[in-house]
Amino acid sequence: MNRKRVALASATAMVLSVALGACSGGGSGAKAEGPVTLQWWTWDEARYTEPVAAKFNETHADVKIKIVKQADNPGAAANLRNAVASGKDVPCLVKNFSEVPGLVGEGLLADITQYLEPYAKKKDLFIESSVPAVEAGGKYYAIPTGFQPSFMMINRKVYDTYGVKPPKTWNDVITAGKELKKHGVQVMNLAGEDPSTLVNLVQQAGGSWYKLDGDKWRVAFLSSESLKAADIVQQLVDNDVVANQTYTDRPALINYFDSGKMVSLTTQTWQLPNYELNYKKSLGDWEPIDLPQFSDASSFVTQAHNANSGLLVPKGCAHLKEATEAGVWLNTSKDAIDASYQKDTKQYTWPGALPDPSPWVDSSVPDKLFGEYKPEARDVILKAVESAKDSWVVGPNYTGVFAELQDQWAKIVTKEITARQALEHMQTFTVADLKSKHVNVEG
Amino acid sequence: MTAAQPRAPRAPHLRWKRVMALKGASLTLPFFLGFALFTVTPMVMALKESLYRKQSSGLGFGDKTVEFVGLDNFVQGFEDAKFWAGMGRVALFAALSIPLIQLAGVGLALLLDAASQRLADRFRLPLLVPYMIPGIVATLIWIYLYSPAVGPLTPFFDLIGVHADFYSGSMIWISIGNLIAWSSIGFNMLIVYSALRAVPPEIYDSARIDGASEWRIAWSIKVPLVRRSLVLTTVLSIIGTLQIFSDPMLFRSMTPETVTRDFTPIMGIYDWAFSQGEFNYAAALSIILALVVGTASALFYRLTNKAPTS
Repeated sequence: MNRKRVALASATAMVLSVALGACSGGGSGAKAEGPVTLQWWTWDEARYTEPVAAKFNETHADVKIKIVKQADNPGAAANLRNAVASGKDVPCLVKNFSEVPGLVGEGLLADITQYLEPYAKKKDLFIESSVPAVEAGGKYYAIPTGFQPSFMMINRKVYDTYGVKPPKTWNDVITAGKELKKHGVQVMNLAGEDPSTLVNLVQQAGGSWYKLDGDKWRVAFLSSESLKAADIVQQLVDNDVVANQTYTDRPALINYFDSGKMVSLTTQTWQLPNYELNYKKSLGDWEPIDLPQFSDASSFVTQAHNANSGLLVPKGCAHLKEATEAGVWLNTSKDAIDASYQKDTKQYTWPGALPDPSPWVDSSVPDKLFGEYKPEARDVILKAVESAKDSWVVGPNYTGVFAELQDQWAKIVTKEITARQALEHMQTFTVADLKSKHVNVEG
Repeated sequence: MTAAQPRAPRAPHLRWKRVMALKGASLTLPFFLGFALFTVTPMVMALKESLYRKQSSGLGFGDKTVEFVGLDNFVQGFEDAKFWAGMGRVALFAALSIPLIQLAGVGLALLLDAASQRLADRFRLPLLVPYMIPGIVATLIWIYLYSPAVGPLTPFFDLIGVHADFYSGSMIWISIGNLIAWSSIGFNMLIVYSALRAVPPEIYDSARIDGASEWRIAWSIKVPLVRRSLVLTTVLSIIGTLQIFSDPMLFRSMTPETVTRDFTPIMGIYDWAFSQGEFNYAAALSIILALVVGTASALFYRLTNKAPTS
């Protein structure tokens, strides 16, 4: 009986060790000669990225880029966590799926300060407001990709039909919403999974949920800027002037936007070709206008902080110097921007990291979407670039905090809780979470 | 020597028995290897992971240390209100949906059993078709049917004056329950129907001679005789329902404000592990969930098997 057990156990152990050995084998041998190859993980469509990588490979002899297509944002996140944990085949460039400090907090990124600093200090290479997004604790962990200028587009035809004036402030948006509601039209859409409206409003108000105070964090979900932003969201929800269409069912969403039942969108240049290609009824009815402001704002401000800003350099990448240089080329060289040109939409990938994107503004505005209002787009976009400010700081536990915020946001839009209650919860949650991770915090 | 003598003739018999036993055991080897590799190993690894925690220091940007924290993750798990809210949600759902689905499965099996063989054959396969459709595909079909934007059900209900929002907080479990019922009633029916076919027809004949009606036969003879099958399908349903994942996960893509990321226990565990990278805590929650599912199934089994089965 015992011998039988022993035999069974040893057979099992043998099969297990063979199977596990097979899993762990096949590691890549170090390349002693030839050009360095960098893996670039991105879920962007190949037509936007492959020509850029090809141009890079054509113009660089010692470093080559190989794109590894990812399914989507969560897929890239899961794959990177696995790659960094295993330490094998770690990519050197990854499209950002979160916020840099949160990912540094998770231990996923490499410190590239010594390689990036010369470029970051160079005058006029990167727009100044693009750099804070790649910093954590005074060190760099990603290459600045900059930001997309934020503005609003409104279905002017519907606004005019019901005699509603285009909004200049967020209070105007609420007032317009009340009027439009009488006609079965929603003024904006707040997707139930996406708290970015709240985040953007806090940034526009000049607030930040985290602040560095010496060697500790201060958490400020209940700051005056944050509460001001929450108040706007609360009024939009309480007055039933917003829709809650999800972003995940894209065709249904575009169909809804096109229907004339929802008439104002905060937007960025990258989204415009999508609307141009997919709108059927409302092409030409839309007008680009300046991002609405807080009524008491002292100057015109748009937010310069985009979530997912920065091209990540993961921990375990074997070629940090080359990765940094390639990343800088991808985001600042004219060759890279030119290679991103799309013949069908006549658009370049928005050069968000450059101090002066004006040469590419016209190409970013599609022909039909804005109809007679097209000439207004250039000024609106450039004004958004010039007035962009980045006051946003993110702490090391932001990945989890954002997930929690998503749940709270869902409860705000379904009226289960108020925006203020959500912020109160987030304050307690964030402080407790930092403490549980042994991070210095006060608040 | 004298003691050894009687043993000698028995030795070949023992060896032969042993060979046969080994032969028999060898047939189970593939199962045990798979079980060891895909069940025991992950469980041991999860148990080990659940005793550690990644800790930061200072501002949280430096290298992490992995510390042994004993049962801290389990304590946190037992106090995690959201995890238990998810558990409560699926428990309530299970308590309501499983009896209804079982009832429908038994009802259909009894109807099939009462029908002529030809008629039963005609219905048996179509009723099982939903079960043959992979879960993800089934969910996608129903997500389309439920969609207020493009699905046919919303306009249909509007036509009869009912405004049905299948994705609203009050309807979401009914929508999910309907989908599960649609795909699992056929399976339950088939198991019960097979059990019914195994009952010797003489029992029914004698009941009829004693003057029992068809209702009476169904209730007093057929149902008690298929009790074991009912217990089996119910235990399978309990295990499946408490671990419900793919259906609400796909529903989340349509209605994220209703189906939150920790809507069900497994969804919460998945989120901790793969969205937030907290594998240690996720491992602890997995073990807690396994304990709950195991206890619930064992309790049900114990309670229902106490009474005589025939």
